[in-house]
Amino acid sequence: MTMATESKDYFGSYPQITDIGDSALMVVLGEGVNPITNSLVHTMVREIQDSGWPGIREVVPVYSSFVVHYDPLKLSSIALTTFIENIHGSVDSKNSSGKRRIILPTFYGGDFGPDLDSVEELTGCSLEEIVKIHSETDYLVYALGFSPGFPYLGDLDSRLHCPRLDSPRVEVPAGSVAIAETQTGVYPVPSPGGWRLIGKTPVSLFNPLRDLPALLRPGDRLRFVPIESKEEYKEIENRCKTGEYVPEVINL
Amino acid sequence: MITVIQPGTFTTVQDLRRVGFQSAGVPECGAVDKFSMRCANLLVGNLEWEPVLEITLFGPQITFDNPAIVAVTGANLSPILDGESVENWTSFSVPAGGILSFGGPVTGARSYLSFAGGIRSSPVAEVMGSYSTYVPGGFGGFGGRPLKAGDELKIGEANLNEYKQREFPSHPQFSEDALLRVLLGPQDHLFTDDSIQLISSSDYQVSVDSDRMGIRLEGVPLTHLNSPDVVSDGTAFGTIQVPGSGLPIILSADRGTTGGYPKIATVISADHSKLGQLIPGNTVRFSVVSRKLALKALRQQERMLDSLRDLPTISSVVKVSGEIIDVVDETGQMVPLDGSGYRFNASVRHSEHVENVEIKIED
Repeated sequence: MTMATESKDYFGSYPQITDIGDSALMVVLGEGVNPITNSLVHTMVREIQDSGWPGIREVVPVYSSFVVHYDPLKLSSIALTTFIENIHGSVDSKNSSGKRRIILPTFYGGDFGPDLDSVEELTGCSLEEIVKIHSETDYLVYALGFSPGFPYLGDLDSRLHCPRLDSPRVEVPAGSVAIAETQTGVYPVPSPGGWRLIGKTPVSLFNPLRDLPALLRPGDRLRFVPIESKEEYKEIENRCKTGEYVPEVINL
Repeated sequence: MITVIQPGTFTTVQDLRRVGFQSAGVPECGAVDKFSMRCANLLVGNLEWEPVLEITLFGPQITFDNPAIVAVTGANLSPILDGESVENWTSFSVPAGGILSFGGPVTGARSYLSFAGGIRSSPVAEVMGSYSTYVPGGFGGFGGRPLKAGDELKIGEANLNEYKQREFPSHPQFSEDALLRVLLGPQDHLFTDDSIQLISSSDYQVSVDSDRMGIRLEGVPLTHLNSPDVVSDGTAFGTIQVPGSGLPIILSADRGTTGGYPKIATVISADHSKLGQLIPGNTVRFSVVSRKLALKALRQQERMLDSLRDLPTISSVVKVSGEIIDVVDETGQMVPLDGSGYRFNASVRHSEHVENVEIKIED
């Protein structure tokens, strides 16, 4: 059995390709949020981006779908749909090229994690346990959205599940590492937020002036690694500012 | 050089859009009414994607150090040059020391002020391939913010000797009642049949909470079949998303790149200009149309701009394969054929044999 047939059987009646107006297509590859569909999303998005098809403006992946923005005066919806269906039929969904693990040094607790006390209370885990559980898994970056560079990350260990804050903070500092319900995340830029802050990374996740403004790419794995002391945090922070510090990237 | 004496309500530098960074969570930004913006550039002889000033409701007061050629398009915000009214949709020259100001909104929300030779370099910066200002993110355009009194912008030098006034008599008219044509979807199946009827039969009012991110509407709430939440997915300019309140929001230039509410319909490209000119209190009605009609309307709108362009002739190649006919112009770009009213010369290739023909596509 070929790979193409396998993926067709597996994904049933997908892709579902629908017009979003006259200059974008919504391509849905499966239901809900799961890593297998998400991986297929990123593989297809890369293929479409690499195809260099004229008239395609950009391709935007999310959880189980992606949007293709195109110029309707240069490319027809029908031709583009056929093109996408062909890619779906031929794509190797197990292709893992381009997958990376990004190491994000993080200081847990103290004034960088003002909600850690409440998380201890709500989960019954000690500070040490919270840090261990939060930093011992790779989180899949399903997509970037909500604000520039903000990663939608894979599931948080159920032992750390706890509700959002009753009233959201007006401004969460950039770099804050937070948890809420079944999710965890990092705030790339200062923004309002209702998640519980447990730590902070000195690494900048988004800088509009960099060639690649967002540190993370959809499909990446993100691993938080505890920073032992405030001194070490300061040192990394200073080296980030001068450009000497580059977070570790492991090609998988 | 121009100097801002008063900035007006909300004046930002915008070009067409920021392309290629939505996957990093960066909104596309750009002029909300791209048709008027492109027209402003063409009127002063610029490339149509040059950065311009997007002026909202109450316009700025600006002095010019040197002579300049400018044009104002879009909303009628009562442009005034040295105390005298000037025409919208027409290029005009400004003498050294001239003062351009705006008397207040008459129709529409956004005017576009273009300068022959464009807005030049520092402190207006190209960020991620675009000059568009993204105010919530604090980047792009003039320091990532709306203009303030005292700001100085370097503009292109005008050659007044070669200046020929241009005008655009067939410009659009904006009114307080807008009819926006939409294509249903991508998630109209998540709404009750009544809601699909409602969206094309009821009047909605533009809320005061509208901005460059989106137009919020007030009126009869729409009903979701199930939950008002969907797994977050992508958005497009003109997408009408419906949160739990049932009140539609039309997404605009600064919209978030992902959204978690069902999207009942999307405004067609030809009506994005009207969308960009809505102000709080305006009435909006929707009319469901076909993709074919949407494309026809877009081509008609593009042809209106042709009067301002010096167009090269297109020599085209038609590739015939099975039932699908792909038409490719000389730059290798596809000319879509599921519309109408196109006529051009082409060479048709049947495997070895090449034949020159004239192709005309009609309704």
